[in-house]
Amino acid sequence: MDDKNKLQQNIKKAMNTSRFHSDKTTSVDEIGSGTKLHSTVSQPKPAFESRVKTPFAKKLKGFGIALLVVFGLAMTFTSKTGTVDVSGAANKALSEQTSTSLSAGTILLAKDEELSAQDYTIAHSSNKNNTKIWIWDYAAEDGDYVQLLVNGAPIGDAFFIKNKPVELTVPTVGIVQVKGIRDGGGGITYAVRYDLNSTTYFNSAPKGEMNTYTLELQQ
Amino acid sequence: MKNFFGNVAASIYCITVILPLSLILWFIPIGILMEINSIVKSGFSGQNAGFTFLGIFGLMFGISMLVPTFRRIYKKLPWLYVYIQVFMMDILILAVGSYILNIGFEVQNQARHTMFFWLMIATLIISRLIMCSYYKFRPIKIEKE
Repeated sequence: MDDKNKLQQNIKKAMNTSRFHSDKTTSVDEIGSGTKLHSTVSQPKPAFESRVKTPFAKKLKGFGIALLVVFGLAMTFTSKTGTVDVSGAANKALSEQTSTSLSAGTILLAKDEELSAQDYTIAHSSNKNNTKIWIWDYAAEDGDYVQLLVNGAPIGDAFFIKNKPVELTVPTVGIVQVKGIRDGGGGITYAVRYDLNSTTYFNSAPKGEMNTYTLELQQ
Repeated sequence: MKNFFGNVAASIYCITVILPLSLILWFIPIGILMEINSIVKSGFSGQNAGFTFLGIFGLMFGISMLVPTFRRIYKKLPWLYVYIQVFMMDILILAVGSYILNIGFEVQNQARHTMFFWLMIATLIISRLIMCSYYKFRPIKIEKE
């Protein structure tokens, strides 16, 4: 008799529990000890079953989140052209190919458009032996390569020019040349800014040819 | 009625997005391997196309797994989850390898090229070993509801 009461209590307890599986059946023999009862008690299907997440749905959700994280990371690693400057100063720089107001790293075009190749003479009154220059691609990061030469000798290896400027040091007097090594498409477009005169030169170097910048000390 | 519209939406997304992308998935690892080959042969770095594809596929498959309505696709085609997971892992490993090689080839220097080539090979092997061990302990299987 005690077993029967115990059994009833267990059933009531189970019925009041909110989390259970609808397909689970509880054998009376498992609950009651000693007394042999052959009936089984099926628990009623909960009303919220459809909202219960299955392990597979959880896996899908987890992998889906991982894929979105991958998407975010992939977009970070994919090379893309930065923000194009469309200001008046930028337009003026495109037509004149020089600018004293634009900073290093300014992007003028989203796609490569070859400007005419120019050579420049930079006269200055700096007493320093060396000066900094910054070189970058002012159009699309499409795989243009250049090499820098000072007085005919290469300083370092040829490198991929990106929208992010690369800082180099060159002598204040001498000949600086930028040699076009590889055209990623649409011409080898680059800009070089001289710290010496705070001027940026937007230029184009045909493959295998050079732009010359003659640095002179003004008397 | 809600169920009907859900099924229609899931079917459209499956037919127009998931199945075509699943077919293209086959060609992406081959494409990345071809890109690696062209980088090594030309001596110049490429465009990191692997990451571009990884991003696009990650977004599209990610949406299908996160939106409950679209999750029905995987209930009907349970093999798709396994297929996508394995291919995405493969593409991720190859894209990382290709990215490393691209960094190395940004500067024209033979010693640097050789170093980054072997670094890429080591990355590919180690990543594959990690992937193998992961699936050894957590085997991937086609699951049914």
